[in-house]
Amino acid sequence: MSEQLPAAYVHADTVDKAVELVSADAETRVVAGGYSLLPQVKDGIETPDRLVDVSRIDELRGISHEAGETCIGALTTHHQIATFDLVHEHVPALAEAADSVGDYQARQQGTIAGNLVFADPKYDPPAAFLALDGRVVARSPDGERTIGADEWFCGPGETALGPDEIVTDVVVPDAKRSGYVRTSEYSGYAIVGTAAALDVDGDAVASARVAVNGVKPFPIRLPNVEDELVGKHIDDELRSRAASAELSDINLETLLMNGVVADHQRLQLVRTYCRQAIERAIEGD
Amino acid sequence: MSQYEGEPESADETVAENDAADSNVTVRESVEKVDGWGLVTGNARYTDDVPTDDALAGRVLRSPHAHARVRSIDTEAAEAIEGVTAVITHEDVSEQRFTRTGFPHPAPAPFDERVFNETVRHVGEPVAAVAATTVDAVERALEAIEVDYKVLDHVLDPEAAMGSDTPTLHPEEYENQQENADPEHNVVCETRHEEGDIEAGFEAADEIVEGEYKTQIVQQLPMEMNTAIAWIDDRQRLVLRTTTQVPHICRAKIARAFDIDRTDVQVIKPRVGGGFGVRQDTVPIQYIAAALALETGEKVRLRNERKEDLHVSQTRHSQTIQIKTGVREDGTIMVMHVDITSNTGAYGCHGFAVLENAAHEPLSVYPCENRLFTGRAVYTNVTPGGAMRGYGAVQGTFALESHVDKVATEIGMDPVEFRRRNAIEEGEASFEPASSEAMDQLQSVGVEECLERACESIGWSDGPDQPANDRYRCGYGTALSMAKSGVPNSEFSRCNVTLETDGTLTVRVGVGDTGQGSETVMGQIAAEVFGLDINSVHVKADDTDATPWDNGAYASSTTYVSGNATEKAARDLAEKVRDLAADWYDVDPEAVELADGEVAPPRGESMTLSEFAEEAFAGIRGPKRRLTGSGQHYTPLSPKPFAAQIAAVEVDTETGEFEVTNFVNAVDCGQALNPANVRGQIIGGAIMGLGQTVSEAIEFDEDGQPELRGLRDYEVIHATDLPEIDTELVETHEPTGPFGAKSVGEVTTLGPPAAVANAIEDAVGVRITDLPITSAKIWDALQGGR
Repeated sequence: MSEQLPAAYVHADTVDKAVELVSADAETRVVAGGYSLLPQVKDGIETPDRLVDVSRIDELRGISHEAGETCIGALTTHHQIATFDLVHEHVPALAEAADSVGDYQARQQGTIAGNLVFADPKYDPPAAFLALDGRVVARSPDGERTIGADEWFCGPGETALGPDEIVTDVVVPDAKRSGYVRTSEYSGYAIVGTAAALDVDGDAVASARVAVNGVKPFPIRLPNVEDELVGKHIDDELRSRAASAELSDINLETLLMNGVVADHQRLQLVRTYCRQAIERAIEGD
Repeated sequence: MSQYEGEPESADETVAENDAADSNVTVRESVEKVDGWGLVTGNARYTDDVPTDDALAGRVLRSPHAHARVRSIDTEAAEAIEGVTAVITHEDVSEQRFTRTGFPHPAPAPFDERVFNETVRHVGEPVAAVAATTVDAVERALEAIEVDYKVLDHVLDPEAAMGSDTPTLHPEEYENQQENADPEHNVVCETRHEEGDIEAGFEAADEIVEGEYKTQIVQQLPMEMNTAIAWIDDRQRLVLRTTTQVPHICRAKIARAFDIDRTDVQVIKPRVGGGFGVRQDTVPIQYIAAALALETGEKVRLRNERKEDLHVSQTRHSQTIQIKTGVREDGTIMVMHVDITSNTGAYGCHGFAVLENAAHEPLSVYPCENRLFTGRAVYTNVTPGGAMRGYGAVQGTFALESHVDKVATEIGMDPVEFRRRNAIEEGEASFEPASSEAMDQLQSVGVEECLERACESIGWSDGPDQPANDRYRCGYGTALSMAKSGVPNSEFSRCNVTLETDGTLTVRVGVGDTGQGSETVMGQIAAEVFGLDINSVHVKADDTDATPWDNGAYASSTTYVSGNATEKAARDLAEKVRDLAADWYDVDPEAVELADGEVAPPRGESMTLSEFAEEAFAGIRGPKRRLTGSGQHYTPLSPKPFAAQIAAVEVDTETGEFEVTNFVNAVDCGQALNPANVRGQIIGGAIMGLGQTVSEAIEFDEDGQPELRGLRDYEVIHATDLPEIDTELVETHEPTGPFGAKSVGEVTTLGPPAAVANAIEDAVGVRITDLPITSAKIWDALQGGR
């Protein structure tokens, strides 16, 4: 019943060193806050031979805003994101998602990159990241590449990150009209987390992205809901249309069973919280 | 506002009734816990907080199957691993069957298990154990043990288990079978308790109301994991340092299991990080640690990991409860029939006693002439049920207090008014199991005042304010409950109080303080008799070598039973002091006053207790004396604490989500000997009850595997989830209790599930009858109702 701890544990002081260590051995895993990896090691889901601790690499830390984008270092904690004015100002949905994570201790320790890499259906940032059309900057021995949110989530706990890559930054374009809301278990994990981001031209919605986590094993967008929003003027009629949006593209058969809510109520939670996320996004700015 | 800081309302009467030295009162004061400083500074020493560098690491190999026969175990490869000192299996332990259940021998439980069983009956059951010089060697040895299992059909559902096509869990003969046992059909016991004329009761009723209620399996979840360190001392005695509520029972059971003299076993119970019932039993790792120490002659340390504890620690029994009530239009209950099927899991353990308690405590609240309790406890292939705060009455109270609301609604009566009309009063009898031969006339019953105070606190008659947005609806719900003060005719405590030569007192009593504050309360009681400060008393309670027999801390017995023994011992000592002083001063002993730590014969010549003790031991006025008082308590009485609890909820009708916004506890525990401690017990109990109400559950998949990877899958309620909690002390005076006290440890765990279910019904008109109450259940019910 006892967990198998990895045989080796090494610190990397630079990104290059971390990339070198990770790419040299398929059974090496990166650890920073440890809030996702360590439970999986305990459960025997992850059985790495070696852990590379990247938590001392200062260049992976910090938040900046430039040219209409917020750039967040991989090691930035949820607490830092949730309490940083720039994030609230430019991408409120991301700040709200970060503020929703687990409890105070988890927010102090857990990092944005770790959260997006493990992409658990009970996590908060993934839906916000997807709705905000963010992108991940990753580095491998071959150099740097960028992976967009629509390509990032591939399957249950699976992402487009290659085995020899590590995340260096998460970049999110401005979306002042954005919001994240969720409902959670007593454990603090999200049951359903929903995010909406609107791009407004004048007083009409030019484009919309709505995402939900907790329904499928990875976050999904709700195109029908988005279509309902595009071209509409921001008024009460829009709100009521958003509220009644068709959610037919959600396949109920594959709903994640976590024992707390039954499938049809899960759908109701999606309806309710999706509407609230859109309402928040509409009110934004 | 809470009442606990103020003067108890009935204090005048009670102070007049006890003959304590009132000018230096220790009881009824919130004195600091005697172990509090150590606990909050981290200096307290728990079981594992002693050097164990010299100990062998012990670990248990556990069954991966819910039901299997061990055909053979090959330990050769494991034994060959360097550092491995011992590997033990069922072949190395006695074939004599027993029960781990922590009552005095013979417990009201079937002798249906061994330390290692050849047939394993739940996932996680011990199959073998290893001791080795390193953790690594232990781990490798566990992997190297080859067990050939014949997997047997298993059964998880109690109804199915009683059928004819299902496996029999205990086909072998075993002793100490309980009432109407039918092991072939997995029935541990079947009980029936009838009073009055049931048929006539239903005939005389205007309305008959029926309901079915279900409760889930939950766990006590103490902070400290079950831990045992065993060694053989320099006089070849077995010493066990362990997490227990019952050191003396643990000692007796270990001695019996290994056929050694009790005098050759010592149990040390250091600070313990919570019990809540799980440590009432002698748990498997305690036997296994002892077995490994006896086998190797070395010190052996075993500590369950959290996941192991979650998988194998004994649980609260799940129950299905059916109630049929006949009632008159005026609100008089004419008849009650309660039927309970209780899932005891793999072993009989507390199956019988929990079943009895599940009906008898809740039904006691509503005396009626005609009542019938039928019930059965059933074996299934899940973790065995055990003792857990509330002990069956949580399940029974959820059912009965939900049902009482249903009945009141049915006849159009306010649920509080209905309860007031039917609730038990002073001088009436509790409903006691026939087997207990308890005396059942109650001398202190404050339940009606509890109800009144709870209603006042929340504003029951006005009802909740409703939010402007009608998506959200608020409601109030109440529940009454009753617990006990020990098991009548079973509980036994003995206490010795020694007057040290400096005038301080050493109290030796075998209570199991697991954090609830029993050592503090025993100290207060002894100090009170002499008018001493609590700091002048030392309570020694952590070692069976140093204390006389006490059943230990369970069944809410400690303050009442051990407290009475302590008071008697202190008074016995006081009498000896008076006698000696009377001798010295040639006066009547009755005329010697003992107050404020002073011995005062008439005619003004007083001395401090310290001067007195010193002179007595120095032999200045006669032969040297060292005075010790002794007292014991054993009783057919078990006075009942009562509670009225009210929950306020807000329900989101769109999603079914809900929040308990306020919670009120009004509690009659007799006199509160330490009001701050009492308040802690009341709030802690209510929180444990709320956790069972809204989130906690242990579920098993179809193969009988517990669906828990660790604490993150066990939805324990957090401090940040709690509602506003108001606590009202309704202090009655229990004439048979120490300084008027009854128990308080369990009673507030009982009411929260029904109070919340009733509040939800009040808010949105749907009744949730199975625990835990989830948003999905409410939403489903709301859809059905539309």
